[in-house]
Amino acid sequence: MKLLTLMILGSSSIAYAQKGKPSWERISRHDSDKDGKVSKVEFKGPEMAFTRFDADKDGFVTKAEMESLTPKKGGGDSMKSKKGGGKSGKGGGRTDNAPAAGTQAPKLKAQMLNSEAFVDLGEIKKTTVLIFGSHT
Amino acid sequence: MYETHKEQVDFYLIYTKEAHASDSSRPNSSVSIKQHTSIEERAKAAQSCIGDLKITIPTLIDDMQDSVGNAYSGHPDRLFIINSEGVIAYRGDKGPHGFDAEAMKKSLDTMLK
Repeated sequence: MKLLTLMILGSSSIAYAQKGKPSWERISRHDSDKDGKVSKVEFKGPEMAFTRFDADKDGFVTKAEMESLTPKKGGGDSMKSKKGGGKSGKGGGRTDNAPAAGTQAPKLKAQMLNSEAFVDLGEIKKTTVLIFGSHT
Repeated sequence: MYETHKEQVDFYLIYTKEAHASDSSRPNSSVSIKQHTSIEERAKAAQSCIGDLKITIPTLIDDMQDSVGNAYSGHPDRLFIINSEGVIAYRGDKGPHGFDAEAMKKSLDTMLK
């Protein structure tokens, strides 16, 4: 999924990192006629986001709907919850080669943007969050 | 999350191949970027992304063999936490449907307690 969409949905860790959960304060920016609710026409984000926010499906997103918004389903494996791993259930259905929780991180290096420096992901010495994605 | 934990935790955005490149069969309707054919193009796309989205998280670019993305099955998007011993502590489900920052945050908070 696109990072932009994720940010609007508020489900991206980048969004959490910098903007917090999807809130009425953010969504109400789309309320161009200032009637206290955001119509589908006013909403400039992805249709799937609007569909998620509009809980009662009346064609408007309200403050109450945003406040009662529940996190998206998803999740993952953690060392505590499901040591091991294997195929995850909510993925895209394609082969999942990702290292399982509890296993050593692959010995790979990746280049820092705008730098000649590389980060050695196989030699992590500090808790590290990896966020994979692209602009589209 | 980044601002809160950046002293204790390293965060990296790993910029991968485009999920919905403009020259693919399912192009993104709002962002038009062709699939990168060189590391320079990938760096340019990453730069554009972090600029447009005002991302301040340190960004890594995957190589043109998609080595990191393939090793982690990180395409189109995904979250992981590696602990200080270099062990995968949290493996998020594959995006887009499995991308769950709440779950990752919960796991991270538990680790940092």
